[in-house]
Amino acid sequence: MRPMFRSAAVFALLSVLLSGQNKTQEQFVELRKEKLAKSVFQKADWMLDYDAARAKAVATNKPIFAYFTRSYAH
Amino acid sequence: MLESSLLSTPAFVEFSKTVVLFLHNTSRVDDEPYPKLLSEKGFGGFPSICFLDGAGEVTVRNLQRKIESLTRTRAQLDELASLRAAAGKGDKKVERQLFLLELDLQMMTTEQARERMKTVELDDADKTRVEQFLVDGEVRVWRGKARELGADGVGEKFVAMVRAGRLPSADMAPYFWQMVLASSAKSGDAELAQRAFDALEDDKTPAVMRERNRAMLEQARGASKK
Repeated sequence: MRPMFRSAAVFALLSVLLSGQNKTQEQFVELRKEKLAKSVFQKADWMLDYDAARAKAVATNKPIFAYFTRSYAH
Repeated sequence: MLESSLLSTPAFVEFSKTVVLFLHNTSRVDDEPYPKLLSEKGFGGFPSICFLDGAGEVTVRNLQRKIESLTRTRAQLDELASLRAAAGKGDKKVERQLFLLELDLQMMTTEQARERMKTVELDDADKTRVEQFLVDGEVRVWRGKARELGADGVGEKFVAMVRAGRLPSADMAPYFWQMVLASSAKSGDAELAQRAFDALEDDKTPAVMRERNRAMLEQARGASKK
């Protein structure tokens, strides 16, 4: 591989590996806000509070359906 | 992907009324509560889905990402609660049903299943189901060791399973046969490669994948002629 292309490949790899690691707290907050505002999460009654979700599961005798996602990187 | 497909469907919204929906978002914001919940529940990647009970314990972790599967599992969880309640009251008649249901929901390891088998009265059909569970469990174990063994190592394990007549159920079959095809292409076992190729042939298989599979089959044929 020619040096220029090798450098580009290494840069691309590092960008992927480090995605999300070079952001500020403000940026993480903004990304979280964007994520949670998505229309998919407005369509149903998603709970973000783990303790409250468990309490509701006990009170209503229903299982919890948990979805784990992330907002720090796409 | 899940957000624009399954979770956005009207069928999922309907399903959601039968459960408590919990969204855990790993944000890397400092004030995030339970930042390590994903790994605490035994998952390593995004997105992940599972059912939890009121105590937060994972009840079902291997879920197909289809509404039919979620709905079926949800109904099974109700059945599970009834059977456990009956078993708790000493009803011995439910032991078999309970064992088979827990097996279906993959709530035990293959070792636990082997032990439970000894204590429950099973007919031949039940034993076949348990055997299938054990085979699928073995596939999952090798798949889980893919990093350690490498693709070639996993492929060799699966080839050995084929030779022993231990074939996985439909859910596990695509991954299994894909690895067998790759392994037999490398080893030049054209007969086995053909078998794997046929098992993977499906109308729903994307054209790109079919082409790739055909290339591996040709590779096996070419190698076997040498």
